[in-house]
Amino acid sequence: MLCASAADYAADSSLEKVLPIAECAGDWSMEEKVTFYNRDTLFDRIDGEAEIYFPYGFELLVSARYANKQNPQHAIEVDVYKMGSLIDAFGMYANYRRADDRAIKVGAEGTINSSQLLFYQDRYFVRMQATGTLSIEKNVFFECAKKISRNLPAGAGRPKELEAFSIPAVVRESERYIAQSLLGYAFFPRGLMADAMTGGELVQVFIVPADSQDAAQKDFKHYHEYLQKSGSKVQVTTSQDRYYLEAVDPLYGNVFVEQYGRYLIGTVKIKETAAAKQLAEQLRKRLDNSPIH
Amino acid sequence: MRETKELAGMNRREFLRIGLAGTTSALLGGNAFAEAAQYYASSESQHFAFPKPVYRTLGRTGMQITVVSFGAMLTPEPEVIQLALDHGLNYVDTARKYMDGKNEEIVGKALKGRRDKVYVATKTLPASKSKEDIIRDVETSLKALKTDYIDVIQLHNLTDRERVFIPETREALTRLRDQGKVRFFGVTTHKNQVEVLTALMDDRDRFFDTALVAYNFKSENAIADVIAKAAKANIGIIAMKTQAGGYITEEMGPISPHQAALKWALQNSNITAAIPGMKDLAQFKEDVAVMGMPFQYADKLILQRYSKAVDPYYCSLCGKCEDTCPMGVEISTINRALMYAEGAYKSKELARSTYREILRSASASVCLKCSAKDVSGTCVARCINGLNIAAKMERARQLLV
Repeated sequence: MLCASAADYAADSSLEKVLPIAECAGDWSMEEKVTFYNRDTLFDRIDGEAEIYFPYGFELLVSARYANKQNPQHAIEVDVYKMGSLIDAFGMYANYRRADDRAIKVGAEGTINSSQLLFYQDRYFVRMQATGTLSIEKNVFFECAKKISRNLPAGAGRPKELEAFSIPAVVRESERYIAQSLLGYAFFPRGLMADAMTGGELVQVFIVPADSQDAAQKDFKHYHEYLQKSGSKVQVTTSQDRYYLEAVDPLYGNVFVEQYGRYLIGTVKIKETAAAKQLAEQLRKRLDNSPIH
Repeated sequence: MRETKELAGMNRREFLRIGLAGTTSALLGGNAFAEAAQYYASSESQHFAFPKPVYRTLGRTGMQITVVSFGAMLTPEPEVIQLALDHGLNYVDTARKYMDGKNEEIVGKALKGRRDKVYVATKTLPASKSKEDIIRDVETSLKALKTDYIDVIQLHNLTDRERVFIPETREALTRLRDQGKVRFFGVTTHKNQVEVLTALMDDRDRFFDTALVAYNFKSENAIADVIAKAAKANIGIIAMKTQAGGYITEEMGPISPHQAALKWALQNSNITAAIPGMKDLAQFKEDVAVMGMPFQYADKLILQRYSKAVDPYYCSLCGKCEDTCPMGVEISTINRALMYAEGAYKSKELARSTYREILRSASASVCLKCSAKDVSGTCVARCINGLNIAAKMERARQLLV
């Protein structure tokens, strides 16, 4: 197996002592040594899935396996990924988080089920998985996670960018950060998405932050052109340097998008444009208070 | 698979940018360019006509699947998969392992209302061998995919012949098939592919119906040979990693080596289909456009020029050159640092931090003290792929010291 060299390992002192050297929890002790994987070798650990990590600024993975002393076939595989930033770590966490998993208090946010625990803290995304058995006691996972959490930088909490979604309509823990091709469109290079309930309907809201108002208008134009080329009937209005768009998106159905300063704010899968406008207004206010950089 | 290792760490559109900044006409001659420009390029904002689906038969399964099928591993939005299915793609590949099962959930959402029009392939966990593990994996996949049957269940990432013959695994798979939960059996392999495919053919029971293999324009001839034998034995062959790593299209103007690479794989009639990973609509359009296109002279030129553009810069990090250096210079690590500086990463910081890891006594500076020269008066260290090591070390001293 290819893995990062000892030099890579030494180069990142922040990851040197993240994983407990002996026991992770109770009777669960480390087999062999920790293994490091960098951008060149991540494929050896997770194969093509590595590509998901790169847009999120993946730098290094430290990995270890903790086997049960009574039954060595049962083990916990622990992976700690050093990502580009806090929002990147959150983005990876949200990619893997499943709606039916239980929230757990570890790191900035975490979820647990019988075979897996996920959390992120600072710029680190942590995955713990049961192997050789269907399930592992949750307190074992939790104890191990807490140990790792103590070894990671503390205090960062959730990304500030998520405050933009602090409106009543947004469904809790549905937020995602997409580092590439928001909504599956390459012309939306990155952005935030979340589910929202409005008028009894489940819709999706999104925010595309750009570097400038000009850049946001360019993104808006790209989307407009794409919709036109797709044969969608598009209605564009403008007011005070702001643009609004209503159309039927080929992938998502009814859509409303507003260009507001250096942001695009949008809602997809909507029935009533009025409701989408209300959501956009609420998100706008949040962005005024908590801008996304 | 060697290429995949070499290119690991770069996504498919990032690959090496070095040497690719030339114009399109530098890559193709005039007529070839005109020919290519007609069918390359398919950005989202351009009008796009979806091609008529092209099908091939997947070995003895008898399933007629689209030659460009959907690798879902990297797709976060089910709507992108749905669009593909609505335009005729009829085979989707996922795995229990991808995103810890969440990828199967995404595929499950995409299948809603379309299940009868789509063949679904997934994979058990790579470590699963026992009866209990296999049955558990399949049951979990069925739940995540929101379906009551899987068309092709594949053993994930076989690296030797041993796993082809595990009786317990076969017992579990047979039971699942008898219950109607799976229809056909397959394997996937990236490493020791010749051994794994040969094992499938050696198997008197011919238990496995399909094989998902890494196959691209840089593959060794031995891979193509064993694929031909397996196809002749009526094992359905699907190609993955057809891109040998990844590319960036922007630097190549409207010419996409990605499409050329996909066509290269599909020109082999022993390959039933390829399953490129598609992150977004642009990638889907780029891939699907290839259906029905022949591999032409223009494609050959693109791949030749592309390989040629990359080769002088690209170090496979095999480390064999280090045995030929009398000063013990860590040539491959230095080349890796250079790749960080000049390749897709464009990160001087990463390059310098990598370079700093090297002991001074093994750094590129040591070359200045070296008196060993060959008959032509140049560095005695030799690269099996023909890289100019002396020039690389000099470049490292300029950029990284």
